Amino acid sequence: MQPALDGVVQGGEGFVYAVYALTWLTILGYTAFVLLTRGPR
Amino acid sequence: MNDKLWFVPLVLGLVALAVAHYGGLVMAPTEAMMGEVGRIMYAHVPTAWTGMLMGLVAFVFACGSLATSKDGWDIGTHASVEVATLLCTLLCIQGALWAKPTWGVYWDWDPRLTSTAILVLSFAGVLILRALVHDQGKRRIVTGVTTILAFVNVPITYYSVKWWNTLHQDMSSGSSIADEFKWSLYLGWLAMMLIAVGLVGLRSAGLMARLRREHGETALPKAKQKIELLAEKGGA
Amino acid sequence: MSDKPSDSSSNAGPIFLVGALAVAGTALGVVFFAADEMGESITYFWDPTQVVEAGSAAIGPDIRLGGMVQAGSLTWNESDQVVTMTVTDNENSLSVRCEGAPPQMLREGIGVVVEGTMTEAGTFDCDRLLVKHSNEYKAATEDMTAEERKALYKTVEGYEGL
Repeated sequence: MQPALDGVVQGGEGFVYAVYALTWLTILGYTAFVLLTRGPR
Repeated sequence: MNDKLWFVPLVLGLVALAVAHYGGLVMAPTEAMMGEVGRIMYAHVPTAWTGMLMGLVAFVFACGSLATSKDGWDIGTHASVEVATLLCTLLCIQGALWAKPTWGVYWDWDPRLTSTAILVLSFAGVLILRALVHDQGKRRIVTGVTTILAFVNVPITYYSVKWWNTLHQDMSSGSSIADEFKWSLYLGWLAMMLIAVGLVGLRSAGLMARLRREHGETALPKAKQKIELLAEKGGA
Repeated sequence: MSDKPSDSSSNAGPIFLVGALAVAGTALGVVFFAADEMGESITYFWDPTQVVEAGSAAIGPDIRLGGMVQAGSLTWNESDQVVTMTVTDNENSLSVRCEGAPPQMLREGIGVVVEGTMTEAGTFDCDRLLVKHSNEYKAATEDMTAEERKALYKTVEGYEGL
C-alpha cells in the first residue's frame, strides 16, 4: 500500500475523541433517564 | 426478583467499557492505513454488534408477548426496542464521524447505511405507535406485531455488505483484525452487552412499576370510577 | 372498544404472532432468495467492466463507478486541484479525473467509489470521490520511522474547507 498523497497533516484525532465522548454521553445519559424515571419503589 | 440486581451487569459493563476504551484509545497500536482514526473501530463495532443483538432480543420478547399475552414480555419488548433504537442511532452518528476522515463524506446512501437508517426509523416507529395506544391489550399486540416486522431488517442490515456492492467495508471478523487489536474489541463488545442487559432490566422494572400504578388507578375500574363520579356530582 | 378491559384481546395474541411471523418470514425469505438477483439490478456502484460493457449507454447519465486505484496512476495537481487516476477491477480499467481536493485516505491500491459521468473520450469525469476502506485492520509496523507514521495520516491542503 502506497503512502498518502503529499500535503499537510490534518488532525483526525478530533473525530476519535468526538466518537468516544458521544458514546459515553449516550450511555450515561440514557442510564440517568432510566434511573430518574423508575418512579416510586 | 429484586430490581437492584440489574445494577450488577450495568456497573460491571461500565467498568469493562472504560478498560476496553482505554485499550482502544491508548494501548492499541495505530492502524496501518487510517492512522489514529482507526481507533474509532473500538467504539463503533461493539455498538453495532450490541445494537443488532438488542434487535434480536426485542424480537424474542415480541414473540413471547404475542404468544403468552403476559405484560412482562410486552414491557421487555418496549425496553429492548428502546435500547436498540438508542444504540443504532448512536451507531449511525459514530459511523458518520468515522466516515468523514476515511471515506471523505459523513453519509452516503449505500445499502449498509440505508438499511441501518431504516432500522432506526422502524424501531423508533414501534415506540411512537406504542405511545399512541393507551389500552394495554391493544398496545401489547401493536408492539409485538410491529417489532417482529421491524426486526426483518436486522439480518438484511447485517448481510447487506455481503449481498450488495457497498461503500461500507465487509463485516469485521476475528480474522480480519490484527491480534493486538482483538482484546480491546472483544472486551468492548462484552461491556456493551452487559450495559445493554442492565439497562433493559432496569428500564423494564421501571416500566412495569408504572404499568402497575396505571392499572391500580384505572383497572379497579368501573366501580371506583362510578363512586368518584357520584362523589363529584354529590359535591356539585 | 376502548371501554373493554385491558385484557380484552388477549386471546388474539397467538393469532397475531403467527400472522406477524408469516409476514416477516416471507419478507425475509424473498430478500434472502432474491439477494443475488438484486445484486445485479440494485447496484450501489458499477465496476469498470460493467461500464466498459455498457459501451455508449454509459455515456451521459450520472453513474457511480467503484474499483481500485491502480498502482502508479495517481496524480494530484495542487494548483489546479485536480486528481487523476486509473480505476481498475483487474479486468478493465478506466481513467478518472476528479476536481477538488481528495479525501486524506486516497492513495494507490485503495478502493474508491466515484460519482460522475462517462465522456465521449472514454474517460470518467467525477464530481464526488469517496474512499472505500477494507475490513482489514493492521497495526502500523514497528520498523516504521516517525516520519512514515506521520505519513499514514496525511491529507491535502484545502480538504478542510470541502
